Amino acid sequence: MRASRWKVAALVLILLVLALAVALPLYWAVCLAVRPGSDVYAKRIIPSALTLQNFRELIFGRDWAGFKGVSFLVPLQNSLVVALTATAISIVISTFAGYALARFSFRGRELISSYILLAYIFPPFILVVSLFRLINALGLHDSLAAVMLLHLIIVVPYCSWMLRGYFLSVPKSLEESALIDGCTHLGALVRVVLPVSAPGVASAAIFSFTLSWQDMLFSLITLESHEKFTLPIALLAMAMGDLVQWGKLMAGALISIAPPAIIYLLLQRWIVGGLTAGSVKG
Amino acid sequence: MRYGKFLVGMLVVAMVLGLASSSLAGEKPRLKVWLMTTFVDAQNNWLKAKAESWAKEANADVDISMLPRVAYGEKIFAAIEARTTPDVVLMGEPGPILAAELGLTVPVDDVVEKLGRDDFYPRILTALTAPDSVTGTNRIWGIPMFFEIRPAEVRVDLLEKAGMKIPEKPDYAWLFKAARAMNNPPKVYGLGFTLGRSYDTHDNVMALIYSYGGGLISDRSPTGGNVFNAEPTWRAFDDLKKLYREGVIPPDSVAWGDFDNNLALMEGRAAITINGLSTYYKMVQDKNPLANVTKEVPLSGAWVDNAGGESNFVFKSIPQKEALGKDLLHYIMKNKEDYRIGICENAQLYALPIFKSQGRIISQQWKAGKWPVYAIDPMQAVETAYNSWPTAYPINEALSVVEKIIGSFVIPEKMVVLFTRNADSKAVAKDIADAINRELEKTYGRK
Amino acid sequence: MKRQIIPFVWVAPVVGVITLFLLYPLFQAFWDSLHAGASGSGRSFVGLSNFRELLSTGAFLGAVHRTLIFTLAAVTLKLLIGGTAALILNRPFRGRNLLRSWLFIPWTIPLFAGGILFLWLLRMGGGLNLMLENVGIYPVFWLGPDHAMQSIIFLNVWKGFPFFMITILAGLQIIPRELYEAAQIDGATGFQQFRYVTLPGLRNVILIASLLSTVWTFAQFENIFVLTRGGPGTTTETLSILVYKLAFGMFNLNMGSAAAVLSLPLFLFFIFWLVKFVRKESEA
Repeated sequence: MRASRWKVAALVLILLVLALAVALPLYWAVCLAVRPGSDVYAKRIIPSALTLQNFRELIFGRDWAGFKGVSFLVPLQNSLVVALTATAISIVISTFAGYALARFSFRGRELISSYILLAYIFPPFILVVSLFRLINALGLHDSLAAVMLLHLIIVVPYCSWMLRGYFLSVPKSLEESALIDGCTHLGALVRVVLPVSAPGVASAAIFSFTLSWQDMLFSLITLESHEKFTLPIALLAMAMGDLVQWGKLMAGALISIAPPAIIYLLLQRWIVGGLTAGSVKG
Repeated sequence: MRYGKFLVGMLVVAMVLGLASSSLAGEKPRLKVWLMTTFVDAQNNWLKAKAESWAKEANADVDISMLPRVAYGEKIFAAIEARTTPDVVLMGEPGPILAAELGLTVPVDDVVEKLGRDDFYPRILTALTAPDSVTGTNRIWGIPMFFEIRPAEVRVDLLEKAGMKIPEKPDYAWLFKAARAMNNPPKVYGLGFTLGRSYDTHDNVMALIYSYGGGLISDRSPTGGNVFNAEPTWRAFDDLKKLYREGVIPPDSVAWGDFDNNLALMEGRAAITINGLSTYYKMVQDKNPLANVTKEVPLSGAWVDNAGGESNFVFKSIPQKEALGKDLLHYIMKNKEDYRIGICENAQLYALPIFKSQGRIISQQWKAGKWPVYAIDPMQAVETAYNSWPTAYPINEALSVVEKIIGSFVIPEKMVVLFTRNADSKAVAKDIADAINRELEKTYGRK
Repeated sequence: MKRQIIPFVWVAPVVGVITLFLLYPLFQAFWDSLHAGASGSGRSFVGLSNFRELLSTGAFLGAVHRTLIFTLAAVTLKLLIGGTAALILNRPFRGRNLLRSWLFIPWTIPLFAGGILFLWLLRMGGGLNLMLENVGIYPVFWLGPDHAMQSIIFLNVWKGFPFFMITILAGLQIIPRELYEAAQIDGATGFQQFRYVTLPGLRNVILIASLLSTVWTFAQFENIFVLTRGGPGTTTETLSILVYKLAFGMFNLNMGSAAAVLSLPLFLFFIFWLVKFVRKESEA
């Protein structure tokens, strides 16, 4: 018995080392974000003082990219609007598609399923040049609408695939009784299946939100004006701009990490289910 | 209720697209302006304020995008490629000649005349002169913002400790000697020479090559780049490699961007850097004590500076906007005193005026001791310098190929191989010359 | 009749999105890659010369090489680390749930934010080097030519191992207890149980997770771009970075499209196996 106790302890130690590696970058980010600017070059590991100055300057100072522009809250808001819109549109059309692929048998069903799977894992970088051309042709250069549209190709295939898998696992009995009672397919979907599928749909929505939140490539090729920047581009501008102010950069990074991290930690239960049901990017 | 959900969804989409797309056109004409920002806040803010006050006077709207250097560099070429260009670019480099060769910009000879052609230093006009893509006559395609000379920043306190002083005509040989003398790694490196993905790398390397008698492009033919693959280049590469191997150039300089050399000087990590005075400006702003022991030493033999870099130019659109754009360009410069103070003096003379009338004043100021950081009269250096971009030597004409080569970091990319893998200087020079030749052929054909 | 129309109508929007934003751009990329010059009057058909240039200058093959190294190394490490963590987390111990939540964190961090965090951690005067200096080790140039590739692999593994951890953990919990009990009765040691019960039970999970992760790692852009931008020089220039660099760094959309087209075969190789596997599973 004692031998196995040591064994467990040793194994847990391994995990603790891993946990340390996880913590390290975060520790430094928090450190830099809450210490006064002058401390950054002082080469100390533990901050000498704590201050929220960096966050204040980002939000109220409007000078995070080397000149007087907009508050850092603007990119935050832009990211939110884009992610919410892309997620909303995606959930609606993916619910219909996922359900149709799960329940109806029709010619082309397998083909379309494979089509969606292909789109789900297709590397965006192969498409980025052509999408740049497309956005310009549509006259949507430097617009948030373009980013929302482009995010659809990231989010919709995932959503459809996920929801298809989910609906396949929901027992048909409920809808069948509704249909026998004279309900239309749309009615069956909306009134019978969706309420039961709320966890799956919610899970898909959460993942879609984070997928949109973390995209940088599409925002990079579309946006120019600072007021339209999303969070990743704003951070990039700070990191590749003129003199890099590390404290503010880390504060900005933490602001961009907060929403998805909070969502995940609060809704862990559903996330794990979603991961195994549909598999998500890793 | 049936299709309610569907309809609501479509409505949301329509609303969002409508709201998020470009704003409704107003009554007043609207100019889209890109302003490339630099290390020097004073300049960015001065230009922005000028553009805004012009808008009020001209009863127009300006939509100003402030773009840091790296972002601007990529966006301008993508925009030119996709024809999504702004109406006016301020203080932007690269871009003017590439756009001109494609026939996308309007010539600004009339603006030059209005500002007084004779008051311009002739060299600055050459920098932005290129043949019209249709008629073939030489026109001027932009108004440069300033001269930016690139002296060596030297820590005179460390120099003294090493028992040396600044000679009458300092050149690269002396500079390398001083760097070796002051070298004390890892605390202080003798020569903070940028070798990474930066325009500084190109300028610094070319300055050295020019001073050894070398060249970048000799003519527009597909063999115009062969002048680069020659003895002066090989010697320059070998000399730099030696300094790198001896640990006089910091090992991480191959990863330096545009401002890491500035930082190295400001943090005291490098005893010498070669840069524009933007570093000095920042040190004065920050009240950095090292500012007092730094001197700007222009090197004789070859001067490379940014004339024609960081210029204002106007894209073709509708006649009304083009006229407004040119008016904006004129407005920015027309009060030359204000320009000299706002752009040059407030930047600690990182920028030097393009007008002879203002240059004379700067010379007088220097003689009266106003700019002690310069070891020699900066306007004198201006008058004897070579242009950097968008011109090249020995052809001494403005070429879009130069903009492309610099803007796509052809030389910096090869520097990593040259220095860290200790590649053969001749092989690297040949690779670069081949890349130049390929660009020349693609742009000007097989003449 | 109506019943037949409904499924097509319902899948139409999704199919439309994919066609417009994936299929059409793909054709556009092929078309662009055969041309040169800016759009409009400057454009001309140049056949395969873009491809020839890409291959002859070694730019493309170098990127393939680096992408393969990056992908293989990162996926293997993620699998090993995530799998080990899952195995350990499968045993009950105090604080297990807390540790699991903690180890999950890197996965919740947006890709670009991870890159920003590591920018500071790995730079010359940054977090890791400061700590090393304090224990007397000479600072290492992590983002330099010698270690940049290791750095981007490290970042990718740091961010991505939780995916394997969670998936394998879920897979472990599906393996029926009776199999272990039967093996124990037969006198199997811990290691033999692992080899003959655990691994076969995990086979499908590991296979699909690895395939997915391989494709996604292959497609990585954000992390690498933020941390090194493909540099120094071209030492971390993977295919994704190369396409971006050619199109937006070297102002040559046609060349970028050519590089994108050339990247397809490698990607198709991976997804062929993935689609085959998934279709087999869904039919089962």
